[in-house]
Amino acid sequence: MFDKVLLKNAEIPNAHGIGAYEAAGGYRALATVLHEYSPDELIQLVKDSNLRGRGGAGFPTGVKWGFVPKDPALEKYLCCNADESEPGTFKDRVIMEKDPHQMIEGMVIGAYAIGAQKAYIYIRGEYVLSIERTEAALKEAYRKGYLGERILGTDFNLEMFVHCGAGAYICGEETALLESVEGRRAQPKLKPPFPVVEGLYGCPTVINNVETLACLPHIVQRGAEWFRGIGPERSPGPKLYCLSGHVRKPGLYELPMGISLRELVEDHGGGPRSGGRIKAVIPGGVSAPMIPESGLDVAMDFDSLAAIDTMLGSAGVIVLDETACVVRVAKRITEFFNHESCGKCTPCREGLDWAVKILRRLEDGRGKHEDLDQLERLCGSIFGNSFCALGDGAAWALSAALKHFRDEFVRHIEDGRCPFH
Amino acid sequence: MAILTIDGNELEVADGTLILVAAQDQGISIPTFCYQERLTPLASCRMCLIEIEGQKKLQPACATPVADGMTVRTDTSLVAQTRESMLEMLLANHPLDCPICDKAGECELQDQVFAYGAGESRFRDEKRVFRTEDVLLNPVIVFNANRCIQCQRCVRICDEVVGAVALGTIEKGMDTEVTGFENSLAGCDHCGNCIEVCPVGALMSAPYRYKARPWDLTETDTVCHYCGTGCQLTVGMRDGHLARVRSKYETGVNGETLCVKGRFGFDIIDSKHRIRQPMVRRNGNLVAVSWEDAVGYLVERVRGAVEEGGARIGGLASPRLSNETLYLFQKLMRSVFRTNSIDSSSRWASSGPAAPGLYEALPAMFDGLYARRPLQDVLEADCILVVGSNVTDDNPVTDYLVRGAVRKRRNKLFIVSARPSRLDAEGAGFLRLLPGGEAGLFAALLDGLVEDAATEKSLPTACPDGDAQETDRTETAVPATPAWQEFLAGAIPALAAARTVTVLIGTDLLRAQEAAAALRWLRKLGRVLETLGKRVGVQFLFDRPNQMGAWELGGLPNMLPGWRPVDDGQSRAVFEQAWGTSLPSEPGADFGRMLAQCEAGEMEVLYVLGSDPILSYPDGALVESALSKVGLLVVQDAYLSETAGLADVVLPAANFVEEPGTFTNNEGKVQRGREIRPPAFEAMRNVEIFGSIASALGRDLGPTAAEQVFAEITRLVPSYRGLGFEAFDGAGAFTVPTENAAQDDPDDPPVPTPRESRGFALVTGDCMFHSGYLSRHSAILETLSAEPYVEMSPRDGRQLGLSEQASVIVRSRHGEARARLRFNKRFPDGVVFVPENFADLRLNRLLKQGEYPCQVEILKA
Amino acid sequence: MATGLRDKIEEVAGRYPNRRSAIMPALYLAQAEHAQLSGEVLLEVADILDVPEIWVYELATFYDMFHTEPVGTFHIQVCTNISCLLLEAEGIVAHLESRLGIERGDTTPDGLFTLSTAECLGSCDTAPVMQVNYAFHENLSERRIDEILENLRGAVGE
Ligand SMILES: Cc1cc2nc3c(=O)[nH]c(=O)nc-3n(C[C@H](O)[C@H](O)[C@H](O)COP(=O)(O)O)c2cc1C
Ligand code: SF4
Ligand code: FES
Repeated sequence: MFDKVLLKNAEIPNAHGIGAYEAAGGYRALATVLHEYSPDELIQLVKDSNLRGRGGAGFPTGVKWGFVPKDPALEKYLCCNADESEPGTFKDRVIMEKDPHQMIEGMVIGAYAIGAQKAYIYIRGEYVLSIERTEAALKEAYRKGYLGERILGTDFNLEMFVHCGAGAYICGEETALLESVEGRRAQPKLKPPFPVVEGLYGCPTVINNVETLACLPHIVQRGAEWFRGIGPERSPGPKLYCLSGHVRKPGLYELPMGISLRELVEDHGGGPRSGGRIKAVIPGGVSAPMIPESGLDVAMDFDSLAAIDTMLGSAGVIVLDETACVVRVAKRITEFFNHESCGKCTPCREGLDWAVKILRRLEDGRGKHEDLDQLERLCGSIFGNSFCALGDGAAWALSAALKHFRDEFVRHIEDGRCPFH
Repeated sequence: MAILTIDGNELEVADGTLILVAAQDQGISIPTFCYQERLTPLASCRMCLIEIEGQKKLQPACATPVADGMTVRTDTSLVAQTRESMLEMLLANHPLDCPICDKAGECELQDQVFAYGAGESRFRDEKRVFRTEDVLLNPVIVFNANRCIQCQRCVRICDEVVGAVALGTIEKGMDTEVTGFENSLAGCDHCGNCIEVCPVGALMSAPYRYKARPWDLTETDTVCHYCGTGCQLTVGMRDGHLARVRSKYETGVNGETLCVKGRFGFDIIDSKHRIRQPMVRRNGNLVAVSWEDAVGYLVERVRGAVEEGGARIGGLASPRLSNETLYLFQKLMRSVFRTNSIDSSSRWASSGPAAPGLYEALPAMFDGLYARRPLQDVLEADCILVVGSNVTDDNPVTDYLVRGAVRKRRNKLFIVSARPSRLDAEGAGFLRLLPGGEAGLFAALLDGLVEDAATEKSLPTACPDGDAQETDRTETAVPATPAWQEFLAGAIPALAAARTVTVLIGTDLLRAQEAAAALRWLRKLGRVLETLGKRVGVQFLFDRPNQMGAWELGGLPNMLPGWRPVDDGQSRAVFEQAWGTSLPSEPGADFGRMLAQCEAGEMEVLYVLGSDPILSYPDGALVESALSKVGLLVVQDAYLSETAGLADVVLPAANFVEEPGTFTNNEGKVQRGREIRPPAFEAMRNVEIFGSIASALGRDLGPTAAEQVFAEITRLVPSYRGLGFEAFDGAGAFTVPTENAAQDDPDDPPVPTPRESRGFALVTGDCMFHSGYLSRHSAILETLSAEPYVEMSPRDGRQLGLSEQASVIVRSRHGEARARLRFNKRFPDGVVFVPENFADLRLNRLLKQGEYPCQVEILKA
Repeated sequence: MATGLRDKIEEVAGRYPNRRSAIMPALYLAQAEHAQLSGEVLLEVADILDVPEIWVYELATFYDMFHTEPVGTFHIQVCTNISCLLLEAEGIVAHLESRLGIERGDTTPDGLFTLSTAECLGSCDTAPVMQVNYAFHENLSERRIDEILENLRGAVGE
């Protein structure tokens, strides 16, 4: 049985206060870091742990930190990406609601590593409880000297603030997030320059996901080797999986990286809700292409999922059983991306709107065969050509539905109606 | 340098060059929508995607710099197919209403679909429609959101170049729409640059709406006649009347941008207020006569004064006129009327006994110190000092260029002016200083620099004659206010650290009686900076299109063309020989002294050319009385002015699109203003009028055709020597510094002591929508800004118990005027601004020459 | 506008190196005070922060949680994204429509309820879910909805 790491406090009722967190050993990692590690040693530790970002792209955290210029004259920022809006995902929310200090401690550690003196936590606006708990936790941390000036008696100073999102999925994209903090419309920015070089207010900035940051205190306390020993070597660690949809026991599961998708869904999730058959599973939030039932024996880690043309993403695992209409699901996913497109680039803004119009027709049975070709063509025009990964993800997810379940689309056309509804 | 291959051709380009630009240099064109050279790259339209070997995805050529060893392909089928898809997607929701779109025929979307698009559309759903009617965002900008392709050029130009930040983008995704606050642009600059950059028919010019197709227009490239920035623009005429003005991509100093005056104020050419025929005053009334009668009458009255020796004749010409007109006018005055009493501005402090010396201080400004180089270059300086100008109102396009330079190069900009401007926010520091205080400022900067350099131990050796120690002892009367200290604490180190320094001088400085002292101190500062090894350049920011030409070509009582002193025999000999006549040797009167002469009943003939001193001379009481005492008041103008109403002879002149001629802008660049149509009504070209007056007096003024006058100028005026086609018919050419190297003051010029001020200090100048009194003849500008106003800080207003929009009386010792109050929270306390553009206000009745800024009280009306 | 708001906005503005950054938090504060971000309120925010008006307008319209149009006392937002969709969120919306007598996107004539559909609310394991103002309601069923509506009506009645 795997011992919970990230969710270990979450199980204890009312563990969000600093007292409970400290009692469980909280902020000891911070003390260790501040007194025993140089920033470079800390970055090396995180590199050695092979921790990869939990926000979706799986970029090695230590490597990202290493790109930050060392020039002490430059102001630097750390931003925690708590915008969690990928449909099917609710892991960061649980950390913030149940154990916010874990994230805050991870942030102080991260800020120390990169030399940031200011940090922002970008929390999606709908997460009122997360915002409340995080704000309260920040106050406690200031009071206890884990934040502010001369933290734990060292020369290290750090200010930390919450910045609330206001209902725009694109703010999860890191450059859009920075634009949003700067008070602009959240549209992704050109890269390069990458945020680590020129980010918030033109200064080097690291953006990390809540879960990524929450791993840090544990890595400091238990060592890189311990972390690397959990799950696959190249993409190790404890992982939060969000299970939802047509599954008997939906919920947040902490299990090692690399667990098999089938095991996750069938054993931990209790299998499909209806008792019938699974049709497909979306493994990493709706941006991740769906996997038909036959592909469920895949390891849930960045590399294994990439190998079968999908991704771990946010580990938002959505189960579709045989009663689900793939056309409807594909339409709704595309509607989501269309609604959340920031509107900056042509392919995403115009292409997704076009795709939605076609999908709506297909779902009601007003589609034509040539619409399927047109959808494929649109996916091709969007994928790889959009400015940021939102457009890419949308096209990628839609093509997977078309590829694996073309017959369902065809049936809608031929029947002139939805066979499921 | 980077060596790369584009479509198989190897080329070497500078590091950092964009692939797009590198390809263009090779003659390979890559389609773009969102890219514009002067805007920050967005890379959002995705039209320019190209292949780079080794990269998984196509990359935007508009935002990807070259790299050594890169292999780029723009000619593959994938690239072609991608362009086709982008266009197909852009067209999916586009209304395709080209037949009723003003942009049809010059639409970038149309052109690109033609060049790169597919032959048919597969889109068969309903199109998005924002609204079925177009919206009038303000009186000059009309908007059709359905046609917008979201390139954001308009929003970026409004923010990054104009600095107005009036346009923005609302909503997101497919609902994204560019617009102003709550769908209005009522408060914006109305410059129309957003219209100009719009690739499609989304933002359109309201005055041009449904007026013409591009092919209906006769378009002529010319130069703007509103201010000294000297923007290039293209005038489109249909059937002899103005249809529109536009600007061309990256052309001229302005590089496609224009201000509201330039873009919308050209309807002045069709103004109702033209002088249609010659008139002569008979029994107290102006009556229309023939040209022969008018010239005959004039000559008859002038002859006696000429024979007397010309001392009782004076002339005032407008700095809006062309070089050829101004040159020939002073030639007429000097060689035929035998007087040196010539002036080319009625507003500056040169005039009158109160402030002698501005015109004496001028020549020294125009030698090597004057930066006769592109403004763009001058703005590359490490440190830029703007003194005495609200650039945003006086020279809007210069404001754009300064903003662009400072944002791009992050060089240090310091602004010293009486009233706030938008540029303040871009600068490293600003100082609110009333006109008249500039000499003290320059002296203080100099002091600071010398001290700084002395600690660095570089100045004493650099100044062999111990000049430094001299300067060191200057007692400058720097007010010990925190604002001054803070400004100096920023500016002095910045000047000391800079390798190149630019100083831009506005017209505020020239109005104060301390102007001469200020220019002398500026020159001294320039010299010291040069001694410290810095490259220094000064440019004036004239608010009139040809003040520089007017001065350089002899529109001054003390100077012959080319800054040659009138009282210097050798200088006179040059012109006497060329013109075949002797010239009067005594310096003449400036306009202030001419008025004094009139007032004393000693002025027989006053010849006013294109100028309206009755409104503009800063002493309303004097000018009114003086002009009524002139023997013969001649007014030659295209438009009916107040002064013309008093004249004895009124001569209808061509306006600036009805005669050819060159203009010398603030950069010292000579550009051609083109003749777009023949003179309207009975108007004649200015130079031809001079010719006929001269010949009626039995004298020959020489050739009057613009080309020939220009040729004469290039022979006789050293700064213009050798200028040829480029200046006259091409894209313009730079004059060169005069060599006369006026002597520097051996002693430090005195620093005027700051004047005591009670009540409010009134300053004036152009507002954003007008240029002097002339622009009031533009129906469009008049709609945009019809009412005068008094601008002050809300704090002052509240202290007076006044609210915004309240009607107030501005009262000085000499007179009063009434206007509405406008609050500006960036305005300094104790200062009010009233624009000098509103004839009905008769602002000059409040003023007295030598008392600028003018002390006033503000009262509730 | 209350000086209290000005002070609160000044307080949040202190968290950022420039005032533009404070527009979003300022809009939240203004919305809490005024329910709806009318043009007047936006102008006031721009004035307090001393930023161009259009910047404030841009953000007020870009982000879904800012309301430039009036919304009911209770803003009901039902998640209809995939996890909820799979658990019949559409039925939940239909039920609300019939109970409130309005269609999605509309507000009841008494101004009490606005019904919207929402993108994923991040509570997929308790689908179907909705938010009423900021409060989450999970594992919805038609009966739960009736109870919730009754409680809300009761809360206003008091
Ligand atoms: C459209 C889009 C939405 C995203 N949303 C989120 C999000 O909600 N939370 C998150 O942590 N990362 C999100 N990301 C990924 C971030 O851009 C970024 O990679 C991540 O925050 C980096 O943190 P990590 O290295 O700790 O994973 C999103 C990316 C894209 C393209
Ligand atoms: S793909 Fe383009 S339009 Fe879509 S969210 Fe990204 S930048 Fe915006
Ligand atoms: S011109 Fe390059 S993306 Fe628009």
